[in-house]
Amino acid sequence: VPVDPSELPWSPTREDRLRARDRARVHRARSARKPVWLLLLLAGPGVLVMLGENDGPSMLSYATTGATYGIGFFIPFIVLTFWMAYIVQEMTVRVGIATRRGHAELIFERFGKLWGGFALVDLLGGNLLTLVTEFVAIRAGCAYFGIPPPVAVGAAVLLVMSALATRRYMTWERSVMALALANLLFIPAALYARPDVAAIGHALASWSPFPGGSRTELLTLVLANVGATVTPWMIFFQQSAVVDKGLTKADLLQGRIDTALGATLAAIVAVAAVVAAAPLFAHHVDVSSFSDGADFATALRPYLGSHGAALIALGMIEAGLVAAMTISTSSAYAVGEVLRVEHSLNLDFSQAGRFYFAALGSTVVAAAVVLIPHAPLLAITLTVNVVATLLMAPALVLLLLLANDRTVMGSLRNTVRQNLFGGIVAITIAVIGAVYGLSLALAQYGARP
Amino acid sequence: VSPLEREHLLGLEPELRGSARREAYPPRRLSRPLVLLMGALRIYVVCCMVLVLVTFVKVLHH
Repeated sequence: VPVDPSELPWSPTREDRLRARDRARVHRARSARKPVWLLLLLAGPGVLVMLGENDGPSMLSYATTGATYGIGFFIPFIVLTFWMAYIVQEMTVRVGIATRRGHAELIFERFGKLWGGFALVDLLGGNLLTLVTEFVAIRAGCAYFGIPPPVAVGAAVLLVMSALATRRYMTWERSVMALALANLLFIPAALYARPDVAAIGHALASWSPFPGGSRTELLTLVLANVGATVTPWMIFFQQSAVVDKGLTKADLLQGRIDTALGATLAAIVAVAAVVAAAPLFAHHVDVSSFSDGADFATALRPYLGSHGAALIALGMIEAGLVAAMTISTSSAYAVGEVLRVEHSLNLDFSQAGRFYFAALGSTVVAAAVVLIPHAPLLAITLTVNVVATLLMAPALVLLLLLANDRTVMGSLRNTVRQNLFGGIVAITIAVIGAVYGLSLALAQYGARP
Repeated sequence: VSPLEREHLLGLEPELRGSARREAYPPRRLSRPLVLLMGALRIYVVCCMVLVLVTFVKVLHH
């Protein structure tokens, strides 16, 4: 028998109804003591953010690392960078659960319009530029299979739109997660390289052999690998997704496991990309002129075979596509939060027009830029690296301040240990980011004195 | 709404309702060390912006 909605103590929206349904499933799983099912229901933001950050430029960084230095120091180093990513992202889970607010919204409220404006401009500008690089990766990966750029980019835009058209957070999240699992294609690609398991184990245990050769090149790859692991959009995305999914204090453990699982999967994939590209190092192939995933796939074909090379190209397409979906959504959340308008993937287009417009608008603009003949894509890619790494420091400081804010965090505020780890990570990333940004800028001065 | 949906809605924690109805937190009062930290961050951000702009123009020109 239908019930009159006016009987309810408040007027529910579509967002409320769908979230209530999701929460009821969580309550049932918890009451029935089904921990695995409960985790499956609550996992999502952590896995998505970590696999989303294994995006086009990041996978290129890992492939370049493998091709330049082979298996050695960088294997454990990459694992360490994902531990750093876990430390940062775990804070966003707690801040999201404790405050029920996205990162942009919270910065506006607690630190005022200046810092709120900075955070928003930093995020939206950085995201738009990063989206362009994702479409570059998609275009390059598709080019390997002979797909023309307009078809590749157009199909990618349609997929992003299709995921948003579900107007259901859980469906969007599960669809993107299913797609993100294709990130694991780098693992069979690595197996085609017939890796020396003992050498990988030795590298993990001993952090050796330490790379020789040019110190500048080594430093650049160290910095690029750190920059490929923690970026500002990840902070904004996971906090907003935790809020939209409706995680509560009771779900903190699952939120942490989700983040750790995402970091583990992403680290394995990153290491697999290094291993898959290692034959280029063994055969002394110069990769300094390689600009995209198609170059790597083509160069690796003699060593991995046509199937292995195709997996690399497919992995690059997936990396760009999943990142395009998550990054455009993080922009939409931030716009909705700051404008104080409805912002949820559980809403209809008519109820959250500005939210969906921000996601679709940024996607379409980025896709269009990639198709413009002679567009300065290299300049954009370099600028993305500079922006992401330089502006990570203030983003981390603001996150640490929020995670220590007694008024908003209550009992979930950072402990001494979490501050110690968070502080170490923030300082490390800030120093490395600043050095990376400066080295890139100075390299440009050096190129044209 | 159906009785089942009503039951779900009534079970929804109040803080999980809606996405634009929450009352804003008051602005944070910053202690002196924090004021200094935020000031240093502002200078850092301005320098970064200039660096980013210069880098972009240089790369574009190159």
